[in-house]
Amino acid sequence: MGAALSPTARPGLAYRHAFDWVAVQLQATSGSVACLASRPLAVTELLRRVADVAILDTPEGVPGIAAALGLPWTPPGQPKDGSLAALAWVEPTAQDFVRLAEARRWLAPGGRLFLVVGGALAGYLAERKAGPSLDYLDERTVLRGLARQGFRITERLGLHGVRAVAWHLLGLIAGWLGRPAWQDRCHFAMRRDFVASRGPAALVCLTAEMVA
Amino acid sequence: MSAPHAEGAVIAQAVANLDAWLDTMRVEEGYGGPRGYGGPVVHWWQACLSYTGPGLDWRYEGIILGYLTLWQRTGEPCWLEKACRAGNDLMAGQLPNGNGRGCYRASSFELNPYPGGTPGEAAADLGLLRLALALRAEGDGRWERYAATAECNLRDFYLEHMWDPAAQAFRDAPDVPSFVPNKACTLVEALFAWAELRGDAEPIERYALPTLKAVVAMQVTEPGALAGGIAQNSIRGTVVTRYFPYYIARCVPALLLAYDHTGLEAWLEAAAAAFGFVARRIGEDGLLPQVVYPRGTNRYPPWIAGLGDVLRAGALLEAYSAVHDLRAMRAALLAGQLPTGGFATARGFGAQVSQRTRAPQTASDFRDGIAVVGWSDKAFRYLASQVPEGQLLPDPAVSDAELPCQVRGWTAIWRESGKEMSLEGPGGSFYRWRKGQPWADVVAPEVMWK
Repeated sequence: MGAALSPTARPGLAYRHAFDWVAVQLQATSGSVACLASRPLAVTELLRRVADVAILDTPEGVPGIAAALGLPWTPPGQPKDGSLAALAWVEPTAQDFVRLAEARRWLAPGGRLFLVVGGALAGYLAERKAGPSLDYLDERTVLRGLARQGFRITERLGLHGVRAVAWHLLGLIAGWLGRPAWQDRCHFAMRRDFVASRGPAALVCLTAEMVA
Repeated sequence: MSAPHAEGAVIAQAVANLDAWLDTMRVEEGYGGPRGYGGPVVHWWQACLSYTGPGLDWRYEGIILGYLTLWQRTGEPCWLEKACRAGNDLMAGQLPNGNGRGCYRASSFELNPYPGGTPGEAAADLGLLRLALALRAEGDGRWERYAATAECNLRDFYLEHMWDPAAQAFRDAPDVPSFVPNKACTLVEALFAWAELRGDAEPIERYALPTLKAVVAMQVTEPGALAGGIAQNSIRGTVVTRYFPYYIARCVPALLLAYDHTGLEAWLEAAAAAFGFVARRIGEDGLLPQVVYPRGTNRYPPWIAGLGDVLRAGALLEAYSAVHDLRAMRAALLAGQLPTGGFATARGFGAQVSQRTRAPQTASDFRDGIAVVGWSDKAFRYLASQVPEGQLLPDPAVSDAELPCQVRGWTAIWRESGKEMSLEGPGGSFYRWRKGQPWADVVAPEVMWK
């Protein structure tokens, strides 16, 4: 796995926002935190940001990824029930989301779950097209699962929503018209409007709390 | 007191304050990352407010060379030690293996935390190699480790992944035919320093001069408004006709090195023409437009701290009898220093989309007043070179900063102390970074601005 890492490879803007969001949430949490991730992209990006946070049940390639990043890595143990102040879960799949009940037990009272899931515009995520075909859960399915397990959503952020798509398209038109000055302005408008709390989006960041 | 003496004292105070501020921006090891100079980043392309850990990127060029210059001008060993401390950051943050071997962790400035940043990697090498040269001249054995670190990067990253034999130039990405003149020029400066250290012109003859030929091929030679300008980049053979005065100024030192090495007038003429393009665009306020296009200009946001690099290029050219009036620019730079000692990054980020400024009484965008290590180092390097020879720096005189500003139309207050940067609005906190931490604590959606 490590050999496949290009020295200059970076994921797209939506994923960079999402992984930065996870890192900020974990940094701001007092107490033990851990991560769950379904594929090497997420493991790589989490390791870059929060290398000393336990990454649970990760794909087999994690040691190689960590080595390629020049980071130490030790296999984490299973968290004890009620031991985690927060758990970050990136792109749960149909196969692993069945563990939500187990994850709920790991959380301490008042513990939070930070999730990154695909939204209605997930078709814009180039990484999903390029990566292995996994059965990612969409936002609606995840929300239903969370509600069944007694979680409530306290924050939602949509990344790469409709306005950002519109600005991007306008920028392309400006480019075709030979107006790079306008194209750049559209680009900045796209970045300005890239994060929105409402509306359909390519990636969605959710904060969930256990209802007592 | 004579005027030059008085100005020398002002500059010495500015540098002392900036050094004190830089010390507050140190981040210790954490979350698996190395130690180094951290903090939020704002840039033309995007911002990086969430990751605040060490950025082993182009900030190290200005920091190492600024401290080296201070040591040389004042004779005080403490500045050499600070240059070495910065060199140690880079050594500790170099990736030991994998395809990123030789790269510096988090070298991508506004894109951090990622290695493989351009010109971040080359700029760090330049700092290390100049440090090694200075230490070797002093008989200080530490030079070898800094030289080895830079050489590992140059061989394993640039020569292995970025050299394009067909184009006879360095790419900006390993897998895409691409070229960015100002970034290539930073690498050329590092190659010249490497050649000096080795006592062997091979890096110059084989890599630097061919790369500079590719730079000059992107310079506008026809008379007209764009004359002397160097296009920002090319990708897959297509030249992107955007002309950034700041980045064009960053090409000047490498072109002058080529002239010194070869004695060929063409290099000096290219450097003078490039700076002529820049100098023609200096406004009455001393600032430069951000981008000039064949049709139109996007003025906002003009840099402030980054003007240090432009002034440095102008000062280098003076030695070749190409003199421009840069007094307004110098005044604009000095006026940009904040009470904390850091420098404001720019003016008019809020007008980046509209390219229209609001009424003068309206507070500026919050990003304008953020002091960023990777911009303030440009001011530091230039101002350090202006400290009068033999003058010791005074004690720093810094205080907390509180700047009224705007966030997407809301009124807010940007605060910075030695311990924290924060942005408070009427509804609560938009942003908070406790200095020393690798990630911000609070990044509200309103300031998630990549």
